[in-house]
Amino acid sequence: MNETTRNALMAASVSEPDLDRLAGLDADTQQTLASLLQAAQAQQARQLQQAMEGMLDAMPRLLRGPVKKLFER
Amino acid sequence: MSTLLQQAERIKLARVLGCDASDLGALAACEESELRAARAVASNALFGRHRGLFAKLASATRLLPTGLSAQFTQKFIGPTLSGRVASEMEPKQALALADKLPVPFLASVCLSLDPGRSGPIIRAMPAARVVDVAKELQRNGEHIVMAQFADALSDAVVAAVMDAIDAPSDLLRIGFYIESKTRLETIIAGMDDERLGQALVAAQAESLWPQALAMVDGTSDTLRGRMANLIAAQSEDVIRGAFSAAQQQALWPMMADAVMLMSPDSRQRIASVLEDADAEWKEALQSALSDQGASDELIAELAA
Repeated sequence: MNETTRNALMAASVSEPDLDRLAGLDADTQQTLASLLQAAQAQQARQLQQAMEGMLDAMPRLLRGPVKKLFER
Repeated sequence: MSTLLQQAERIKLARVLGCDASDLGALAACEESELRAARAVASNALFGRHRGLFAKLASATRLLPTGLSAQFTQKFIGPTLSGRVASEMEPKQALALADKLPVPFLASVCLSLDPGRSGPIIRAMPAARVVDVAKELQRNGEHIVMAQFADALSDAVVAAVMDAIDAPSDLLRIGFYIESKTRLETIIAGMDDERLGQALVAAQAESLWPQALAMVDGTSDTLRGRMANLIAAQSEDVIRGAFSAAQQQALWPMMADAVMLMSPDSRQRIASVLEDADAEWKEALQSALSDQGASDELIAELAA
């Protein structure tokens, strides 16, 4: 696996043992997976952010403080 | 068959990555095993990246009364994230929440729920609830997802789901995608000959012979022999349909395997159907039998 692809996959939270599982794929395929993973993680991060903000906004006032604290921890 | 299984793996990988199977680019050309490995890696990476946030959302929903938590889950978390947040919940919390969520929402959650990571929750789900969700998945044509869950559920619950599936063709569509042959063996063993016979008739009616034959490939001789005898017990039209599919879709090795495991009476029935059939079928079957090391006597039985 070349260094660029390895770095891209590691940046997408692929662990060392999981990198080994992808060793049989060619460089193009590894790079495609890294790109799709990064896009999926960005999308997941956006969804999480929206979910937390939406929940906080709609949360009953009494619980808003503890939940906000929980999210910020 | 490998094409069908490859496509199933493409769909599963695309689901994990949140894209369409047509967006997989270079990954689309991968072998089934490579796609499976890529899916496991992608699932670990996506889950690992935000595990802390999934846990926080799970904790936040625990602070709310269950009814409100169910409303928030639908409105703010949505089915895709819910599948991942569920992995961070205790089964008790997840079950209480699932009880308040509508079945169509739960069915959508199943598309992103990792049966490996959420095994304790899946196994703790009451059978009636699982059956309701399975029916919804069946209505939505989600056979691949249903097959993924077959490994995580108990025998009793799987049997209840199979009983609830009214279309015999769907049994083939689901069974074909079940990865664990041991699991599949248990499921089919629990089905009577009448039900399996109906599935074979459906294989003929809905062009599902590749699924019907490949489903039992790799299972025990006993199960394959039982299926083989059931094929021979069908009407001439159904048997001819199996041969026709074998010819068109290169299924002769599996047909030969079935013939080798049949009882003498069943083989005789096959021979009688072949008598008036296309000569190419007989030759192709004999050649496949020979390739699989069938005895000369057995091959001669079909030549008569």
